[in-house]
Amino acid sequence: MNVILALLRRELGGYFKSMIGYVVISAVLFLFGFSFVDMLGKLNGVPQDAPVTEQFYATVYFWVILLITAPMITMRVFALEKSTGTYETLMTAPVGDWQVVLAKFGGTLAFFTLVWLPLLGCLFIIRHFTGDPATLDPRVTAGTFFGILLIGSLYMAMGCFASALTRSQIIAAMLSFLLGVALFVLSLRSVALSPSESGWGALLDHISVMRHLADFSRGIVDTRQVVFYLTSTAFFLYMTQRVVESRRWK
Amino acid sequence: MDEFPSHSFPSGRRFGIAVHVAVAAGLLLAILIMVNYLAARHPIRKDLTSGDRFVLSPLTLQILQNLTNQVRVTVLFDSEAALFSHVDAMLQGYRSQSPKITLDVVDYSLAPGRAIQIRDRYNLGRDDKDLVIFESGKETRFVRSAELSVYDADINSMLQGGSRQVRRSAFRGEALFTSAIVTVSQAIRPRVCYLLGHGEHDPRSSDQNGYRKFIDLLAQRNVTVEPLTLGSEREALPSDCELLVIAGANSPLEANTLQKLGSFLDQGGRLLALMNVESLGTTTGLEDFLARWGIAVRPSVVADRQQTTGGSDVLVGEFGAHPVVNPLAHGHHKVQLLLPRVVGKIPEKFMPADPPKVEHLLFTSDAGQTKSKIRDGTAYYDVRVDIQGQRIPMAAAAEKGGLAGVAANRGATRLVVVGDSFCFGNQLIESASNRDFAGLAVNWLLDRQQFLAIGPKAIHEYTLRLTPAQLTKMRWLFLAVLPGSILLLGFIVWLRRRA
Repeated sequence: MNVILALLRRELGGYFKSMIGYVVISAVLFLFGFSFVDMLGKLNGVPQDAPVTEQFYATVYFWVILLITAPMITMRVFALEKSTGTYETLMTAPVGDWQVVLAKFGGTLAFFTLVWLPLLGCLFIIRHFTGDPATLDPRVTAGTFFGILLIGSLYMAMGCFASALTRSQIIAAMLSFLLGVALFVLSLRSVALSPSESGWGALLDHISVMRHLADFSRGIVDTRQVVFYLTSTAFFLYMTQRVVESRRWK
Repeated sequence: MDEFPSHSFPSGRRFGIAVHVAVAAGLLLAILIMVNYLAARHPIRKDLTSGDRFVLSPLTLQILQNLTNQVRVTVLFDSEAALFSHVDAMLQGYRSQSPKITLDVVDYSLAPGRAIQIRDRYNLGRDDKDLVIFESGKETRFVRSAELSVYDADINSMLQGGSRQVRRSAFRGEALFTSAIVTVSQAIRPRVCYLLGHGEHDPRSSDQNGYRKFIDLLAQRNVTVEPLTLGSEREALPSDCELLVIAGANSPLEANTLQKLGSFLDQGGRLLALMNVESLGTTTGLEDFLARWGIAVRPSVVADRQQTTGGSDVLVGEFGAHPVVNPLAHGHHKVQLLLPRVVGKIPEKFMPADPPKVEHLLFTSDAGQTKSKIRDGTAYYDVRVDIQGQRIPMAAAAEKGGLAGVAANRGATRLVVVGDSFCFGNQLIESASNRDFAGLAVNWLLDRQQFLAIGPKAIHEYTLRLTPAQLTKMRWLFLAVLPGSILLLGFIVWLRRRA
């Protein structure tokens, strides 16, 4: 466990020792700000059945931020080490493959959480200015962040897998982006299919990240969705571990 | 991809390891799919909202757990429409509670092809949207968005000509959805009796004043409509009759018919009585009968110079505060009546003991006028008895709680009385929002006591009221201060590390 924590600290430190971590957080914060300013302008004075916070997650902004930040965070985890030559040093150290994979995944997920944390600040600012406590229901907000964390864990695991496949950060980012967009497009596709009429429709409905986030943002936690994210994250981490391990027999 | 220039393994061995990895990955995938399958079969949904917005009532849970027939629920809604979020979240909860429920959510703006298929399957019109369809076997039931809301209106302000703002205060989806599931899955078809023999509109006629379209509207609500005569001693109202319709009776009802109607209502029956101008010179007996239920049908017709298309009709845009008309008021809809009679509340002092709760439904504008002098089939204003320059009621609804031990199986007695019967005829039912008015009246009348126990869920309306100064301040905070401060922090760290 200590080994994983040490590796995790090393991973997380990697983001903040250079400008990259700050630039990513700052860029994401700007996008949050831009989306809220746009939404507030449109919704000001118009009665709504759902709080502005719930509506934010249904906008294109949220998905743009998620789809872009995930590759930016994960592209370096394995690919950078391979291209700079520190990968060999790491893998010859007395650490297991799983420890490396879990530490790198943990580091990316921790940074992903840090990137999304300022969103909470934005919500408090909106609550402060509107003066309506109902705008920010703490339990619903907790449910929403739990959902973001679950979705983030899947996207981070996919990113780690993509980064483990190559030594080029650009290719890793592209692969990660492709996987993320594929999942998003499948969610969009589920709109056009009936889950009760075809198995394909039922499958797409089950994996629809947009539908899942709609539930989380309403304050609903559904075990089907939790199980989907945990199992799919586990699958991509397993695949990452296999890719890392493959250096021994390739 | 990755390259490691190691060739310590022969290619056969490498192939074997690759197969092993592929099989292991496949097995893991199969296990994970099975876990997901089990999770999908036994879902648990936890509602974290502080008001338990999406928690289902014990009655709904009991009905869902005992469901034996497959029920297909189709939500045909614009995902940006008001209430979609509530409808979707609530029905997802229904689905998670019973494997017998299948749910299709179709956003007609995002998936127009699927919307067309659904409209074709259920014989819906192109304008039919924002509704939920429940289907089991051959039974279908529609719940429209107009029925889903409970509104708060500042009636006093409206009566004084002030604000007309109507606010959505609660969501009554659960009562309607549960009711619809029970109706389609248990094939319960409420029986509606249609009284004949006193000059009523012909329920089979396709003429402009026939009631064929109205009967079709009832059939769409899974209702069995049965013609009924009560004149002879032997004829009686069926014990399972839930609603009696009297549409345009213009000759006197027999004493024993009125007696049977009285005992039907005393036992929690429901009555839709549609009066008209043709019975103005006749005493049908309904006038006195309805007075016992707190509703006065006056011997005069109503005109409204400000709200008419041709003089003889009234285009009603003023509504009372009642579930039957609240959706119409909120949507600023109109109802067109033809020479309606005055239908209002009996004054308090003339009310019977243990009076029912009576509410006005439709009003004229402030330019309303009554006409009670009939000459050559035309109504004239009589300065001695008629009134003008006032809001005049033209429809009313009454409700009275059921008598203990007597009305246990029916619940509360309900009546809707409208001063015009032509408004639901084949021609006028398509005018203005007459069809919606008919549907809302029938729905309210057919509401059963068991589902009234499922209360509506309060809706919080969120309105951002930001001043331009606040918006500017937020713009600066969001776009400059917050991202800039993080960037500055990063720059400081970078400078320190460089030093």
